[in-house]
Amino acid sequence: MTQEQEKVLERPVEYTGEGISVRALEESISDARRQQDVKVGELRQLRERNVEIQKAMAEEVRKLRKLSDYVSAGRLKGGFVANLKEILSYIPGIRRLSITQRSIEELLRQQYEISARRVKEAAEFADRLTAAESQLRDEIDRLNERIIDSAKNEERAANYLLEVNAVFQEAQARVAAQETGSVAVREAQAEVDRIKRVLADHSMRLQLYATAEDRLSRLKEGSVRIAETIANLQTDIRQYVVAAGEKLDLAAGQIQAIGTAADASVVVLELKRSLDAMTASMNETTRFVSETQIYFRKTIDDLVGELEIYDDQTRKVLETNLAASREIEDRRIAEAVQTALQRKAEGGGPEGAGAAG
Amino acid sequence: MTDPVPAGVTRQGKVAAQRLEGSTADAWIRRVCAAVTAARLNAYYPDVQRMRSHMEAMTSDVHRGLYAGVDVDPRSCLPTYREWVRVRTDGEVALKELPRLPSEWELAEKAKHNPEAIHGRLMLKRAYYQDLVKRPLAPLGEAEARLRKVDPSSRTAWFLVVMDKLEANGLYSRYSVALSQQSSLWRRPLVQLDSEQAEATSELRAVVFRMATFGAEATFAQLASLGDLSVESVVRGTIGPFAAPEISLPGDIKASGGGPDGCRAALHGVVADRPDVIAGAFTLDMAACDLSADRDNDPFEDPLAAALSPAARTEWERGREGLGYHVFRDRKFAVSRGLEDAVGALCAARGTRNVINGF
Repeated sequence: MTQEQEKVLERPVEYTGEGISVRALEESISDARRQQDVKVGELRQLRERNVEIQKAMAEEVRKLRKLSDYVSAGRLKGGFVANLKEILSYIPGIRRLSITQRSIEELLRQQYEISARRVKEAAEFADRLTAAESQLRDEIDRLNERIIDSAKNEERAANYLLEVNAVFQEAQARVAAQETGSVAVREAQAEVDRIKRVLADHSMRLQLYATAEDRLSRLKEGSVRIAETIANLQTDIRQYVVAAGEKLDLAAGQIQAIGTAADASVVVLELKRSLDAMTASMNETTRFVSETQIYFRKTIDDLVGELEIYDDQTRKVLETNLAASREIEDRRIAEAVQTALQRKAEGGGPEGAGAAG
Repeated sequence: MTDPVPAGVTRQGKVAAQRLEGSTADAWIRRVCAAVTAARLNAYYPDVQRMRSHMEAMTSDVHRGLYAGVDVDPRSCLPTYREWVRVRTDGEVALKELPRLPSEWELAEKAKHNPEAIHGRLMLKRAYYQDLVKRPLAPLGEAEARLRKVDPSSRTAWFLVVMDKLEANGLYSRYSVALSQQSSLWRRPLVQLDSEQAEATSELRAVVFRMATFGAEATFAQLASLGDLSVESVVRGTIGPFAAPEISLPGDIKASGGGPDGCRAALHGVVADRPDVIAGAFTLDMAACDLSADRDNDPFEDPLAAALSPAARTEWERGREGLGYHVFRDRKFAVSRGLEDAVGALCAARGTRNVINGF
C-alpha cells in the first residue's frame, strides 16, 4: 500500500454533531418524539381548559341575553320597578332586593367583573398557546440543525467511502496479481481485510446518517403541524379577546354613567346598552371558544392519529434497518466461517477467520 | 327630573376617560398616592394602604410595562372603574396562573435570545403576578359587618357595617354604619349573626349602593325607613376629587357648582399650568344621633341639599328632627408644597377653615 493510500485509511473523518450508532440514533429520535408527545399532551390539556371556559361563557351569555331581553322596550310595559324586580331575580343573591334604579349599578358591576375575568382568562389561554408554539418552533430549529448535520455527515461519509473504495479496488488488484498461497498474497489480503473494516464502519455511518436525515425530517413535519395548529388557535383567540375587550370597555364606561344618572328612562336605556355591550363581548369570546372547540376536536385527534401512524412507519423503517444491518453482519460472519472451514479442509488453522472478522 | 346626561358623561352614555401613558401615568399615580398618605386619613376613610397598593399595581414598576397606560376619570382624577377592576381581575387570575407558568429560571433561559418574544413577556407577567398576589387590593363594593356587642336581656346586637366603594362618580368612599338590631325581629334580618362574625345581607349592601352618591344623611334616612333596625350613625369618608395639570377638566363641570364637581373645578383652577403638582380633597360626611348640633365645614355645598326646593327642604328637616340625628360635614385637603395658600384662600372665600396638608 502506498503512503497516500495509508493516509486515506488513517485520516479521521470529521463528522459534525453527536456520534452516531443505531442505539444513539434510536435514543435521539425517541427524545424528540417524547418532546412532541409532551406538546400534544399540553394541547390536550388546553382543549380541556377550552371546554371549561366554554361552559362558563355559555352560562354568562345565557344570563346576559335573558336580562337584555327583559330590558328591551317590549317587555317593560308592566312598569319599570316591577320589571326590574323580575330581571334581578335572575341574579343569585339579590332576589329580595328593594328595587330602585341605583341597584342596577350593583347588578351591572357584578356582571362586568365576571365578564372581565372571562376575557382575561381567554387572554391567558392565548399566551399559553403562544408559549407552546414558541417552544415548538425552537424544537423545529433544533431538528433542522440535526437534519443539516446528518445531511453533511452523509455527504462526508459518501465521499470518504469513494476514496476508501478506490484504495480497496487497488488492494484487490494487488491480491489478484500475487501468487496464490504466497506470503505476498497473504499480506495483500490482510490489507484488503483492513480496508473492508474501514469500509464497513463508514458504510454503516452513511446508512445511519441517511436514515437520521429522513426520520428527523418526518419528525419535524409532525412538529410543524402542531406548531401551525397552535399558531392558528392563538391568532384567532387574540382577535376575539381584542374584540371582546373593546366591548367590555364600552360597558365599563356605561356602568359608571348609569350610577350617576338619576332618571329612570336614562337608566333603562343605559342598562340596555351596557347589557348589550357585555353580551356582545361574551359572544365574541364564546364564538371563539366554540370554534376552537371544533378545531381542537378535529385537529388534535387527526394530529395524534398521524403521529401514531408515523410512529408505526418509523418503527418499521428502524426494524428494516436493523434487519439489514444484522443481515450484513451475518453475511460477513458467514463469509468468515466459510473461509475458516475452507482453511480447515485444506489442513490449515482457523487464523484466517479472525482477519476476515 | 334631573338632567339626563350628568356632568362628565358623553351623550353616548359613557364616562369620557382620559388616557395617561408610560412615565406620565406612573408619575401621576405616585402623586395621587403621596397625596393620600399626606392627608393622614382616619378609619372613617377607605383603607389607605390597600388603596395605595391597588393604585401602585397600575404603575409600570409593578406591571413591568405589560400595560401601556391608565385611563383616568376626569371627574375624580382617579383611575376609571375599568382600571380598578383590571387590577382586581389580574390578581384573581394570578393565583390560578402562577402555578401553571414555567419557573423564572426556565423563562429567563428561553427569553435570553429574544426578550421581546413570548417568553420574555411571560417572565414579566410572572414577576407582575408574583407581586400582585402579595399585594392587598382595595375592595370596590364589598360590605363587612362587625359585631360590636350583644345584650342578651334585650336580645339586641350592635353592629358596625363598613363598605368601601368606588362610586359611580369615580370617587372612592367608605361607609361606616353603626346600627343595632333585635334578634326577635330577625324574620328578615339585615345583618346575620354567626357567633362572633356578622355578615351584611345583600339587602343592606344594596341600600348603601343605591344611596351612595346622595351621601350619609340620605343613606341614614333610607336605612332608618327599612325598619327592623335602629341606626346610630352613618359616616361617609371620601377620597377625591383630585386635580392635576395633566388631567383636563370636563367642559360641563363648572367651578360655581357644589359637591365633588364644584370642588374638582376649583382645585383644577389651583393646579392648572403648574407642572408636577396635585391637589386632593377628602370629605367626611356624617349623620349621627350622638352629634349635639349640625355643623358644615365643607366649602362646597352638599349637592342633595342644593337640589331641594324650599318645600322639600322643610319636609327634609322635619324628617331629620323625627329621626333625631344631626349632620356634620368637613373637608380636608392634601396639596403639593406651594399650593397651601391658594387652597386656603379658596376655602376662606367660601367661609370655611379647613385642614390643608402640604407635602
